[in-house]
Amino acid sequence: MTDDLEQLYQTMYPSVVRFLYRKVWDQDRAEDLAQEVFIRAMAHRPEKPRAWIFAVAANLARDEARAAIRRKRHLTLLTNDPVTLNSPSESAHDTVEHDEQMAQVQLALDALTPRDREVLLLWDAGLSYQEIAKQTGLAVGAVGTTLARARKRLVEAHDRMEAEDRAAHS
Amino acid sequence: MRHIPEDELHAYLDQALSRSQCIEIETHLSRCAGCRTARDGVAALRDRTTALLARSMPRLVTPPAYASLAQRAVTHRRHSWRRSALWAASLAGALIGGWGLRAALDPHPAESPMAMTTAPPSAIDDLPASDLPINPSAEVATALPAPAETRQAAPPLATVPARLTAEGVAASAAPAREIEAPSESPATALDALWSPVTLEEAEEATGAMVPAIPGLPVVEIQLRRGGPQERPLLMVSQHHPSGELVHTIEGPVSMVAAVVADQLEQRFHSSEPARSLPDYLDTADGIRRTSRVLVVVSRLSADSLNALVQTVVLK
Repeated sequence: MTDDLEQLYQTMYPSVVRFLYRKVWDQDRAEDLAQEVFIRAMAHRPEKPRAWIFAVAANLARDEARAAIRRKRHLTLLTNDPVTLNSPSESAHDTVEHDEQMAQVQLALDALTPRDREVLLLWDAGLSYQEIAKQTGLAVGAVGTTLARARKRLVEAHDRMEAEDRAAHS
Repeated sequence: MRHIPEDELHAYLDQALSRSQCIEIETHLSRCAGCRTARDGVAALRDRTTALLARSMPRLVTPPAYASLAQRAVTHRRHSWRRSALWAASLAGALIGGWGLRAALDPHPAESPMAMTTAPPSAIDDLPASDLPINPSAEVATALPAPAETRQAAPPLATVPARLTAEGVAASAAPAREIEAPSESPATALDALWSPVTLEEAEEATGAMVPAIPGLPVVEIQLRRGGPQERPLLMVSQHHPSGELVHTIEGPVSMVAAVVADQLEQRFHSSEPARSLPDYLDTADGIRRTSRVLVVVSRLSADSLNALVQTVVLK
């Protein structure tokens, strides 16, 4: 069991971080939460660890979001956090462009309904339709429908924002 | 002839269908140009989504050592009762022993050139790192008075002279400092909770998260208990090849800031703070996360310390 979990940890850690990152939009917090998830998995020894890990990750991200609202003042200060270092290899221009692109995707994701977003992120994290269905309470048959809608809306929202952005700059 | 619904095309391309369903779809696609066009459209949409999501990727991540997480998991299971007991014991010890300890440890209470007048530490948990009154390029003692933000968070209660002999930080068997804390100030009363511990004890108390610079011999580890569910504040002193001692301090942001500002000798420099793993406190409101940082302080140059702090590992 330990070996299984360790193997799972090695393979799943990056995708759990990615899943959490798109919920909290902070690298360090995403990694902290991912570690917390695996620590809990080690303590709880779930029978189906893959699905369990993403369920707990989603819960932690939700708690984190609620706490973030309560501590809005602190979060505002953290955006100027001197501890957060930019990668020195990236030029300022690249960084700005990357940040803008990322912000657009973030806004587009935020434009989805919570359920559509959850299904899309779980799919992107590598979960199967069955696992997504179990976690979200959807019927397996409804996962494809939800994914189809989520993909379409993500792209539409993104293209709309990009067009608005271009119009604003021209 | 039934055309393939869009959601089935998504499921087909996502490889979420059974073999027989796939055969059925592929047979239909081979005969139906309209559905092939629809499939190509769904495939393009899928690719587009994947590309967009790829833009919102975090930096590449390397999982921390599994063993260190496993150790924390063990601590996670048993720490609630243990922490409560230790917290109570430490607090009792501080109340009983604080004044006696001060008198016993400070050999020159009246004439130390290191005496500093300091502001008391601010509220001890959950301050953003930007509140850190640590200036990496400045002498530690010049970080006074505390920045406005910190003062706003906790108005000065009293002026507390804190003193530490040059050798006392690392060489003595016990924390050598004088505490003259007004009894109504719990934050300063906690200073008496520092105690030297073995590596095993430090690992036990932190869930194997003792900060250290790899390759340098550890001279001493001192620990100050945190609150329930919090990892303690730690100072790990190590011999640097230059002959100097370097001290790695890890703990909640404002506690580390307070130690650096109040209790270290004037000639010490501090590295820039690096983010450490936070504490997660199970509260009635859910999981609460408190930020922690680590700094390396020593008489070495700030540049050297900034290089050293990059090498610190938690183990």
